[in-house]
Amino acid sequence: MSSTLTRVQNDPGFEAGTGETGQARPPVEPLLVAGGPFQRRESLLAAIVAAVGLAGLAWCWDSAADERYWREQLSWVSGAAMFTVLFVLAVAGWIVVGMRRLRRGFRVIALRKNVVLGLDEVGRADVAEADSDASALVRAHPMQRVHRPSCLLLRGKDPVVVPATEAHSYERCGMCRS
Amino acid sequence: MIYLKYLRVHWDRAGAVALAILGVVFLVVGYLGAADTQYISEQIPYVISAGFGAVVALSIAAALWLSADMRDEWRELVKQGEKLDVIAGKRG
Repeated sequence: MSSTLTRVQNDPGFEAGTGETGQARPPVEPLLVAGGPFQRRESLLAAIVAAVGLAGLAWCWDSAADERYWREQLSWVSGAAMFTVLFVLAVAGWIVVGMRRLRRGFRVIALRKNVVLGLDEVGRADVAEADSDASALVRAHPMQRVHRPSCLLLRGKDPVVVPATEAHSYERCGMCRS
Repeated sequence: MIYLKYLRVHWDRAGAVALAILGVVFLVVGYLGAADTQYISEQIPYVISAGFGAVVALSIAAALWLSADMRDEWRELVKQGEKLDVIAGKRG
């Protein structure tokens, strides 16, 4: 998935601020590989760790059953609990990795939509104009402060120009000293 | 026949339901087995096998169900990606 994201980011159509309208976008390879967010390697690793947990659980159960006194069985109960935790962690880790890949897939598609539908250029014209005007302020949802257009905190966000009449109702940014 | 087809298509959700039921069965069997004896040394193996076994079965059931939902979302993303490729190809 990281290679897919890299491929997307290296796509010339993703360069912010190229600004050339009407530029032909080259056709791209499929962004997301069909099949699911789970890769074979991660599934195999999770399966191995889960199998170790299961095997350990079975071993502890068998050993506890062989003991005669409950005080001697308690250590096997602890071992069984640890192996169960290992199993649950393996399964949970597998799900978490899949969810991260899924979230990355959403970001990839959102980026691609912005480029293909021309949404990345919407709003940039007036922000670029504001950038040249030192007194203009911008903000991005859901920020509560206004910033200069060149503020680092706006990176990755979609800023909109704040009219001078409304700027006083927002706090000023301490980073860009707006 | 339609049920078999449904089970084949939604094998992960069917597996999740089956394992959840199995987990509950483990719990019930473990309870009955432990309640059947008055010796702690005979109850502890029931705790390990049925109790922790139920935890394992329910964990797998939850993971299967979640993975089914995630695969559905992924399929939608792939479809959207293909549509965007078509649009990009048409404009290009």
